[in-house]
Amino acid sequence: MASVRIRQAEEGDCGNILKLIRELAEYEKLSDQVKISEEALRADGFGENPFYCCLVAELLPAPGEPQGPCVVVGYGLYYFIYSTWKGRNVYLEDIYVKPEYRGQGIGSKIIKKVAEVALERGCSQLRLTVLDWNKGAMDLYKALGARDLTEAEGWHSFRFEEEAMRELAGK
Amino acid sequence: MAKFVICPAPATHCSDILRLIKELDLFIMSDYRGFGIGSQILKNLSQVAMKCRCSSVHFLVAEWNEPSINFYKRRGASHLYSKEGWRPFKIDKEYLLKMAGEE
Repeated sequence: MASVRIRQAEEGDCGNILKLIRELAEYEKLSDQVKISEEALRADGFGENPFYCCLVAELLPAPGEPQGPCVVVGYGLYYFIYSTWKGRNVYLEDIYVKPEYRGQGIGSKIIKKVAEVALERGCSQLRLTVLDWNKGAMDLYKALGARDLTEAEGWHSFRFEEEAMRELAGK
Repeated sequence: MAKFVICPAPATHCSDILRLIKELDLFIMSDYRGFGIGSQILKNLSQVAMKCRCSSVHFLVAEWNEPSINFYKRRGASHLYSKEGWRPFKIDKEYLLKMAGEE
């Protein structure tokens, strides 16, 4: 079993993160929705007012192996949101581990690290969305204490896409 | 028809905002619906979103709240559950503490 370290992403990780974002979108069968560029990821995550935070999971070299850049095998991208009922929340936008590294608890380690950060920042909830056919992911989140808000309370996700937003804005 | 203006909330309005949050929770019917205030708030929000280079607006709606669902759909919102199968999940603080406390 590979030894893995979870750490805060640095600007130099953006190329690898973008590759993993595309892998995740492909897994979710929604590849055509990925419009983001590496430049945007850098600017939005490492500029003056970051829009997101990101953790990466990287493989540590085995003892005796040469030290060099570690391979990034997973990531968790999150940001802070606000609940008018509960106050500060964290939203886990993406969590992904490359298929060949699954089953080793890396996903759980990433979520635990996000939970630690969230608590340090005074958050009372961690929110995320999951596709209804993604049973593996739903089982993982439920094992960590998550509740399906559609099932439990009847909440449904909606979105105004860019075109609809422009129309609303009157542009 | 009442005249109204939409503007960013100053800190001095927090107790009013909290009262409205609680009204929403108790489903009190407001005397001020039907004047286009909701639409104007949404318009202002979209303008702010575009200025900040956001590409979409995400939100949750209760499945029984037909007037709100129709309001958003009429304005072009996609229902992500029926369209793509997305379900919102949450992990409450007690489980965050449990996770953070584990080795």
